[in-house]
Amino acid sequence: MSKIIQWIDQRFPLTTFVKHDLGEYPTPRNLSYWWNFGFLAGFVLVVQIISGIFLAMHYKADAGLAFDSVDHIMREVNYGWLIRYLHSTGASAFFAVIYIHMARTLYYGSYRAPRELMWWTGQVLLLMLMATAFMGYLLPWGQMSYWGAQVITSLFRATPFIGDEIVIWLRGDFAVGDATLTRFYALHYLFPFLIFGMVMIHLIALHYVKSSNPSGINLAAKDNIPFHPYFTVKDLYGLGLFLIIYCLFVFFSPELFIEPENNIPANPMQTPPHIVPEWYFLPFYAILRSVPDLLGGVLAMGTSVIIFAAMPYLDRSKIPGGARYRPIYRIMFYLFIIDVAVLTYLGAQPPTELLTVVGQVATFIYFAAFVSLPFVSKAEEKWLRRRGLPPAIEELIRCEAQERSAKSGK
Amino acid sequence: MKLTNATLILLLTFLLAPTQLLASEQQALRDVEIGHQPEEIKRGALVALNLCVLCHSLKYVKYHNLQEIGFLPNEIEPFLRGREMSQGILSSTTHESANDLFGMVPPDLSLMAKARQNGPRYIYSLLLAYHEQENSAIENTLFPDVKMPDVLGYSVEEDETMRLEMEQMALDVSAFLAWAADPRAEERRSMGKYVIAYLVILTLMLYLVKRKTWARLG
Ligand code: HEC
Repeated sequence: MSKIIQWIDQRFPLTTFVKHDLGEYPTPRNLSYWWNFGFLAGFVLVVQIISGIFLAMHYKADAGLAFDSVDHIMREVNYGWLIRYLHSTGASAFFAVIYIHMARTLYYGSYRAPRELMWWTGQVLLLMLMATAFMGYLLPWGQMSYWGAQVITSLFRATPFIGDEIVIWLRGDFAVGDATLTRFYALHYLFPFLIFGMVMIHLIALHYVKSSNPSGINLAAKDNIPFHPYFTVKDLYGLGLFLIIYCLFVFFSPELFIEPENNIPANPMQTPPHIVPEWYFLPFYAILRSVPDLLGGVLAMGTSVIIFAAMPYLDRSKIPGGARYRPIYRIMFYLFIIDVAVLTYLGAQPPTELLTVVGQVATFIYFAAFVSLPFVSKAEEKWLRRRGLPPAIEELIRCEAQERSAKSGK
Repeated sequence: MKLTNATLILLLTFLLAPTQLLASEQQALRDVEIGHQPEEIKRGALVALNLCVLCHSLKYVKYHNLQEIGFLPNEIEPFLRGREMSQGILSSTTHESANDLFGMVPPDLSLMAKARQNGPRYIYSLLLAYHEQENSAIENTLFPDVKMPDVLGYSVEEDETMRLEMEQMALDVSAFLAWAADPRAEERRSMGKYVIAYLVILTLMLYLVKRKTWARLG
């Protein structure tokens, strides 16, 4: 055995890799459980890919057969119901985990230098995840699948000059139909592997800049501990907790994530009473609906997703530790979370006059949080410094400066 | 800890928002517990095969699937009407004559219990929501202008025992349709109990290992 490994090591850095990036990889010892969610996201990705491949063995991407083939999976394929519910619940789990992962990054300011590229690759991952989920949702070919795709693809009509052409190009037909289904299927199968590749880039960046931590600065070497066994076991424990919650949904309430309407085969002649996207798209959908103009709505929705990328520039405060040591930023963070929850709720409601106004206010707050951040964060820093920073933070800032000058001196 | 609570609330909001929506638009469904017992499901199957199948199909339920709820092959045979055991249950009315009668083909019932919010309770309530009006027209309060006639005859029945019997039929057929829409539910729940028990023990052990490992750091 050791001979074989030796043979490989002369040709490929296997042992070095395992030692450097898995075993001894230095990890801040003060990481809280909020740092478990990146690993969980990777785990869910693997669950989705594996369950997806098994579904693909029985699924038929044909407008005449798709709905029946899903029912065949549910009734006749051995443990088909399990594979399908793992996959349909997994989609929601993926977003839940990713949103918490993002919230953690925002709270602790982990997007700050030198981790901007981690944040941006993460942003790309979010977009790819959304595209994958959206295309996957068409595949069962139920009413909500069909009309969801119909509504979302028609948003591209807002493109100036060539709107109609773009919509037809996306659908492969004048309306969502067989051509749309087959292309969505092809891409739904492809994207997870692109995501996998992007995760690798995300991880290479991570292992270069190392994990952020609750203190908000890079810790001195003595405060780092080897990844194995400390974080392997911590991640596994977190995985256990996650699996309990996930399996409770899969085994006891899997239909919670499937709209009743989607158990009716797609019918292009009959629009459902109201079309609701999946819960993970609701805040963005609410923003779309809050803007009366189609182009404006689409732009607002697109911006609301990618505006996160600007965070490293919008946040001008030099105080480390994100919301932890910054009371005003902390309040903003919680208000933002509440605002997103309100938008989520609104996205699921049939629009009324009152709710539209609430939606517009919530949309305004959503963007105001980002737009005001440069000024607020600067003012907050000034105020905090004038008031006098607690010695612990002074110490952190000193350490950070020292670290930086040591690096640039090299 | 503060963050933990906030995120839990956030997570719950995300999870519950869609359910909230649908709960808010719940019409007045009858408050009833739909059974899971094999006898109820089998009685309901007989109601469906004798009555509902006159107009509706159950195309995803195959005749031989009825064996899973306690039918013997010779009990199924009378309902086959020339079809194979391995074929789905079809309606005895053709699409053309259904179109002539109702102006539409009555929807397939295989997934009906999952295709409506609170499906089984909805079906039960729908079947019993027929009322005779002043002008002796029959009206369904849950689904006004429904094209399905009062198939149980509940709206015009005055005898109390007969009415109770019809309520029982509605209850049984709802139990059957709940099974028909999700025949693996029982298997899923019983497997789920073992899976959760296993995961809880595993997680507990991982927690202990984690605590022991981290104790080394002092
Ligand atoms: C005489 C023909 C006939 C019989 C018998 C019949 N139905 Fe129907 N059913 C219909 C028609 C027609 C519709 C379509 C109603 C509409 O959409 O307006 C329908 C619709 C339904 C619906 C869907 C209502 C909705 O929300 O869209 C359910 C549930 C239903 N039937 C259950 C049953 C059950 C259970 C039985 C057996 C006890 C049964 N039906 C027997 C004709 C029939």
